[in-house]
Amino acid sequence: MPGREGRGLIARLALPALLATLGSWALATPAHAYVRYQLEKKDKAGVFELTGVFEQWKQTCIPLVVYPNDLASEMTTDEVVGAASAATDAWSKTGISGTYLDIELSSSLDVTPVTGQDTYHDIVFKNPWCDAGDTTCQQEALAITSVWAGQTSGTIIDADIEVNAQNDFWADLVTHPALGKQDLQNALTHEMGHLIGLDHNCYTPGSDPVQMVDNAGVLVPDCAGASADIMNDVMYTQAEPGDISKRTLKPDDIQAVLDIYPLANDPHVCPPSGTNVSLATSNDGCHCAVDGAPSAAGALPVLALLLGVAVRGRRSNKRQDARNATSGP
Amino acid sequence: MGKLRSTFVLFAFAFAGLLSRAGHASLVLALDTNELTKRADHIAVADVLSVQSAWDQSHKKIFTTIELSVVESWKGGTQPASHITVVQPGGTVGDIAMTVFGMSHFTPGERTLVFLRGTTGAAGVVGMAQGKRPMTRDAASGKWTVGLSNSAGLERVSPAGNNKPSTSPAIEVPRSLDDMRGQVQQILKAQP
Repeated sequence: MPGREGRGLIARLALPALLATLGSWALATPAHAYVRYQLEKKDKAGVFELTGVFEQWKQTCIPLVVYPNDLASEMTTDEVVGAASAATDAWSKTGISGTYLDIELSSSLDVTPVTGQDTYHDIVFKNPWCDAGDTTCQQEALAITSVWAGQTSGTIIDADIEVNAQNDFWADLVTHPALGKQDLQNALTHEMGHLIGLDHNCYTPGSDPVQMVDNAGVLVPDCAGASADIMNDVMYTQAEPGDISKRTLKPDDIQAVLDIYPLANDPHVCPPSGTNVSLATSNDGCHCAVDGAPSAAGALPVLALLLGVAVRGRRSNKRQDARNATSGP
Repeated sequence: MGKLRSTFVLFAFAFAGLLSRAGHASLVLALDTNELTKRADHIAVADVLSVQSAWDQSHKKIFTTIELSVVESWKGGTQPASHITVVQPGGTVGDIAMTVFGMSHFTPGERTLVFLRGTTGAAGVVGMAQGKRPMTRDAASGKWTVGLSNSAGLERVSPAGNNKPSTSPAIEVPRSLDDMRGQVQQILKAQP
C-alpha cells in the first residue's frame, strides 16, 4: 500500500494523465464522423483499389419486407416485426427530422423467398440456414447483409438481410433478458446502416486491407483506441455481449443520414416493391456536407462528465402486408 | 483517498470498456485457431493465383472464384503446387457490385493461410473472414508472419446454447509461420 504521500502523488499524476488521454481522444475525433461504403475495383494487376464511388440509394422510399415465419421458435411475429420496424424507423424520416429517407417496412407470412438481386428488398430468417452440400454457405454466420450497387454510379439497386434462425440466438433482450442471446433489434439496426450504404467507423490495423477515411477526409481511428463517441455509434465495428445500445442512433449515425439523404435533395421517387431500379450513371446523388477540422465539441460532454466523476468521486449513471399481401396474427 | 479511488475506478472502467468488447457486423460465431482447425477440411498456406467473379445461373447472386496454389498443406493432404478452388458470395461483374459484409478479400499474388471447408474443387472459407489469415514476409530475415484475419465486417459471438455471455474467445495475434504451423499440428494430433 502506498503511503499518504505516495497516494497523493499518484492522484496528482493520474488525473492529468486521464485528462490528457481523454483530451487527445477528443481532439483526434472529428465531429459527427461517419464512413460511407466505398466501392472497390480491380486494377490492371488484379489488385483491389478504392474507386471513390460510394454506395447510396437514389430514391426516397426503400420498400423492405420482413418474413418472420422462420423465427417463430424464438420470437413471436409481433416481436420480430417490431424489432425490424424499430430498426427501419431509426434510420428513416420517421426517426430523423431533416431526411427524406423512408424505409417502408411491411411484413409477410408467406414462405420465405430466396434472396438475391431481384428488385425485392427482404429481411429473411432461414431455417435451415444452409442447404446440404452448399460450400458457399457461411455456416457460422448468424446474420449477413448483401447490397447490390452500380459500380460506376454507386446506386444501390437491391439489398437483403439474411438472419440465421437455426441456432437459438435471438431475443428481444429488453422484454426477455437472456444470457447468450443476441438482441434482434440491436443487430438489425446495425445491419440497416449497411443497407443504406454505411461502413464501419474504425479499422483494425493488420487486419483491414485499407484504412478508410471518414466524411471529413480524416483517416478513421484504430477500433481498439477509438474515442467513446465512435465506440458508441451504431456503425462501430464491435459490441458488448447482450448489447442493446445500438438500437438507438447516435449523433454520428444521424449526421450520416442527414448528409447523404437530406430533405432538400428529396428525389421524390417511391418505386413500389418489385420495381426495377435504374442505374444512374453519375455519382451525383450525395450532396454531403463535410465537417471541417477535427473538433473536440462532440466529446466535451463526455469529458466533462468523466472529469466530474474523477474529481468528485460521483457516478452518473409499417405497416403490415406487402408482397403477396398476407396479414399477421 | 476518495479522489484516488474514483480516479482509479474511472481508469478501470475506461480500459475494461475498451478491452471487454467482443468482436461485430455481419454476425458470425467466433472461431479461434482450435475451432477453425477442427471445422476445416483443408488447411493450407497458399498463393492466390486468380480472382474471378460471375453471376450464378439464376442471375440473382454474384460469386467470386479464387484459385489457390498450395505451398504447404497442414490438413487435407493436398500436394504442394496443387490447386484449390474457393467459391464465395460477393464480387463485381460488369457494372454491378454485390457486397457481402464480413467476407474475405483475396488479391492475386498474395500468400495466405486458409482454413477451408469442402473439396479442392469447391471449397469455402470457414467462419467467413476468420478463416483467411494474411501473410507477410520480413525482407531481412525472409521469415513469414501470419497476420490477423480481417474482422472488420464481423461481429464475433460465442456459440449458442451455452447459456453464457457471448464473450470473445482467445484473441488471435500475429505469429510466425513456424509457431502457427506448430499450433495447428498440435491441435490436429489431439483430435481423435
